Amino acid sequence: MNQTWVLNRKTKVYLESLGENWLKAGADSFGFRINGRTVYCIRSESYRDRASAKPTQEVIQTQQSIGLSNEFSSVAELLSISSRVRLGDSQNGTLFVDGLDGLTHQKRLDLDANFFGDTQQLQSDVDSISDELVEKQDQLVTLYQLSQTMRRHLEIQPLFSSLIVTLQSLFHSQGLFTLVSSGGLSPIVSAYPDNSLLDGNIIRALQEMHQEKESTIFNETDFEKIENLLFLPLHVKDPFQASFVFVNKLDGQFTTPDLKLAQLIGEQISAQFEYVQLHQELLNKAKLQAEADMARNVQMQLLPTTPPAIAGLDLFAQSKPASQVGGDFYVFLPDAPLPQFVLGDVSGKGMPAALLMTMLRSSFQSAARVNHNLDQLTADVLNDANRSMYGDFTAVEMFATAIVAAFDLETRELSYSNAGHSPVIYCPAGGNPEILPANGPAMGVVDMDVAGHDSIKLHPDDLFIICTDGFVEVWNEDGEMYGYDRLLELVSSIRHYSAMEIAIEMYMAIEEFSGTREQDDDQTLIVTKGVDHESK
Amino acid sequence: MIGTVSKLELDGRFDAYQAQGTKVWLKEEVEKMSGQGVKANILVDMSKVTFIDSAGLSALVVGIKKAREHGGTLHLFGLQQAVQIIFELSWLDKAFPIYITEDEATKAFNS
Repeated sequence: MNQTWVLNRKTKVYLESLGENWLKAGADSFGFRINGRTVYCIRSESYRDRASAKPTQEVIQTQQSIGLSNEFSSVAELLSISSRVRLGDSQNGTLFVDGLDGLTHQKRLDLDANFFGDTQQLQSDVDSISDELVEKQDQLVTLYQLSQTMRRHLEIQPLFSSLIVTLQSLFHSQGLFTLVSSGGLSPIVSAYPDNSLLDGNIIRALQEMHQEKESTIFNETDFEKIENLLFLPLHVKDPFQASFVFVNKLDGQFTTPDLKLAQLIGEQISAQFEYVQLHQELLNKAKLQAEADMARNVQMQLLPTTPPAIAGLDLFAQSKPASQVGGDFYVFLPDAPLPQFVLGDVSGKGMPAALLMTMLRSSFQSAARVNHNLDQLTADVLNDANRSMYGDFTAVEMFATAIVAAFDLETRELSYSNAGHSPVIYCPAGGNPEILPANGPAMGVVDMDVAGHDSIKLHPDDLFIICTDGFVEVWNEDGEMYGYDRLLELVSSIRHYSAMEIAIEMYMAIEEFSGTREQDDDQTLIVTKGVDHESK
Repeated sequence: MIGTVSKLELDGRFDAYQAQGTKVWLKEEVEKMSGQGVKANILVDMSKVTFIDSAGLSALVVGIKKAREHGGTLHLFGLQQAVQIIFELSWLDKAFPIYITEDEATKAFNS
């Protein structure tokens, strides 16, 4: 350090007290020189009086007073002692006394010089410690602000922006660059407060440093506008990566303590970034979960497990969506000229299928209200619903299988129109269960009235089961599919149970078969069993 | 005529995992052919398909509807028995032109 020595107030007071003692002891003047330049001097009153009078007189009187010969032209030059002051650096300081000499005075001045040197050293130590303390206090305040800033922001972008200003003031840098990248993409470089320090070369160099993820200081650079820089990578969760670059320190160069502080802050910021990321993920997940729960509740309310009573039938219906919501549905239409029920399966899964399913359900309800031709009641209802939904099915690139069934208690005839739905199982009381094939294409496939129409008799103990492919396309741990044969065997073995018991057995059989393998399809069914009307 | 037919080969389990990509391919192919001013005739080789679910059927339904919109159609051939049964049960064997061999299916575009 080669600073210009400045006489501060405390030093001046100290020199004054030393000087006054010397003047009392008879000195003409006392002073302090740095590198040959007098920075402090005090003169005795008598000396000042003499100086204001004629110089020759002054000299003579002085010579007389101390008994020296007249031959010397300047007493001050003759009678003078000085002593070196150690200032602890390259400064060359001297205390001097004019108008006195002798060994005693010299010793006393040497003691003063030693003591003055020591106090100067202490003073400069104290000054630098206070400077450091002030600096540390500034840093602590900024760190506090930084942590407050971070806590206020729970989103990445605002957090990032608010950090910029605080960090720049903490490191006294002219500019701050940020590099942000995601995955293997090359990082985006931004500069604050403006782009004036950036050029192609520096960007390329920074991108390399960003890859290496090492915090570093450069106090000399080859870049035109960059004198020094501090590079600080943040350790954020993959695939994101971010780095801060402080450029051109305003008061000197970046130091190791700067780097350590930066690393410390970097760790704090990284932790906060991760916290923010995690918070966002959890928030999004919770939002999705809440929406899905709501959708599921709505859907479950649309599918009542207690169907309306239909005379001559024992009915049970249930739906278990594999995910939160699904495309399976059923609906009972008891007010039509004949009691009817519909079961359907919209292709696809999740929310799109669920939305289309609610529309389809409504279109069946509307169709049942307007169709009263008993000759082909179910076909009319199915054609109506298909016509009103065909455009929507095409637009969203989906289709649905569905079966509409109507029961006439008088004739015990169960008529049905099956738009591509399977499996539909018929099991007469004395016979074996069989699959009833569809008699028309799935809904949304053909824009024409092509619904077929068939009927069976449903006497007491006859079974008519409609379920979705979740009861057939179920896989076990060995990769085997449950399939139609197992399903028919199962129905045969439980045919004597009530509708509800049969449904429960079917769900249990599927669960047992799939074992630990998770079902990935909705399972929906309507079990219909003929019962004696009088006994019911 | 045969030169204007696009052929798609499917294999294994034709379920939700394969269906999405197939659906996209079919739509793009139909639009490409239509853009070149040819009938969007698509031939689908099903001989290696061991299983089809509703998502797979859905992709084919989208394909045939799209092809028909653009003056063409979609022919299937070589259905294995398990797949044939699914088509029959869902009545889709009547909605799709289904052929035994590739030759038959290709020639049928001319009729």
